[in-house]
Amino acid sequence: MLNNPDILSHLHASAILIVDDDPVSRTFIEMTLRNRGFKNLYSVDSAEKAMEHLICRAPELVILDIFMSGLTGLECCTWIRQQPKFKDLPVLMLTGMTDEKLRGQSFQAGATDFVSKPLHPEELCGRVNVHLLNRLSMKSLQRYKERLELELEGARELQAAILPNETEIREAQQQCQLEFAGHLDSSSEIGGDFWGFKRLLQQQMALWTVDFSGHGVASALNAFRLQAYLKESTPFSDAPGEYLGHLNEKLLRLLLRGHFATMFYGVVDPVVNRLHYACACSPHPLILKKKGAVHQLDGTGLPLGLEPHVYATQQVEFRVGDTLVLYSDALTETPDENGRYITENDIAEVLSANASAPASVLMQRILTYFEKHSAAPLRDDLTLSICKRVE
Amino acid sequence: MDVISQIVNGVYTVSLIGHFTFTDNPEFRDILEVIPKPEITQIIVQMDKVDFVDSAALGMLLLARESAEKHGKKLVISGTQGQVKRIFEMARFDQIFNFI
Repeated sequence: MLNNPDILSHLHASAILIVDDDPVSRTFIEMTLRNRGFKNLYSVDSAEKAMEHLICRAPELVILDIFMSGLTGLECCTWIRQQPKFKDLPVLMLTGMTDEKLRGQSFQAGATDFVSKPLHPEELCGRVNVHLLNRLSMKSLQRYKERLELELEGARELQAAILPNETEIREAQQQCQLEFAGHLDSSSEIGGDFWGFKRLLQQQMALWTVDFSGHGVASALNAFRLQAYLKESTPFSDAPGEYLGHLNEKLLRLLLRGHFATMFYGVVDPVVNRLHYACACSPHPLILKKKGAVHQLDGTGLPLGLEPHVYATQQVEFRVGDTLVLYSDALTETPDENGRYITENDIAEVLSANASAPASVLMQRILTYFEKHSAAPLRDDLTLSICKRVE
Repeated sequence: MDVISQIVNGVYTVSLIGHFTFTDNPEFRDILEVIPKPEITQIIVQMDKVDFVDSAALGMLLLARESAEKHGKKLVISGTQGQVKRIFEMARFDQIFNFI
């Protein structure tokens, strides 16, 4: 790295504080560093003056003599480490002795490294370079990390913004007598899951959950693209199978190889009390009947984006008081402390016991059950969406 | 995940063991590099010791299948069980993979 002129000039511009009460040694250090190109040097002759200097300045490195009249280098080093802004500041101790005990004490006081006296120009410059370079790498990593976190935070907010908001959920309830509730918990900073709904002609309501393969930014971008398309396009309202076929062809063209999406797409038709639906590998579509019975729907189907495929439209009775529950595998694949997994029967029991509860309460009950019976961090995104027909 | 592989008489046998997820991408890339080699005619992916796959793992298997097809080779999967078997059934992978 020292061959890189940019890095070298950055190193040479770094502020270095030299603290030594011996004028000969102080001058020697200054001259040596200046001859090697370091331009930003400050020298003081006591620990007290060093502390005064550090209160208003923030050097990149400190060279600190151990034995000084007044406060010692060890005391000064201890003080430096107590300042939060200097917890990573490299402090090189100057010691004339090969005293192991003293070295141990120095490390305890927070010293980063030693430079032995009598001073050798090569050793001095070598150590200064190593520690400045370390600090430079740490700082640039830190900056990179902060920038990435900011960007991911922004992406998370955007992602939340494409999910159904409270107004849309309220409108669906008022105009279509459908209660919606959704929950997304990503295993990485940002995920590829989403859910949504859209009012069609008459009283029909289309609804969907989608899970893009993989995790992180790539699947989030794919999710974005499809969600935008679903919101804007006019679906073949009464033919979910045809619509999945259409989306499949679209994703076949758009997705990179090895990427795919799983999806549930349904249309609630209150006039005939039916839910028409089609699945592209949708893990567990469940219908919770008004009186508490739970039916599992057939969720099998080739995931979207792999091969041309014909998706079948299926239908099931869906009356006032009935609820559609969709959840991702993470719910049944995250073990508790004893390695036990939540089973589909467990979920069915929770649902049955709360068959008359509103969608949002039902959701809360499942999540509470999940929190109680899972310990490991999520391996996959946890998505849950619920749609209930109400009076 | 652990990978044990061997090539015998043109048959490249890859045994996968453990959890097969997103984090196994580098190991699987190595497998993808072997598939196009001219001495290989058939690829067998043994999955009887895999107890968990995520969607990224399925994606990697799909890439392997595609690479095999592109180079005119036969890829078969053997021994799926438990969660892996359930996911394969759910995704109708019997329609796009050959199983033995």
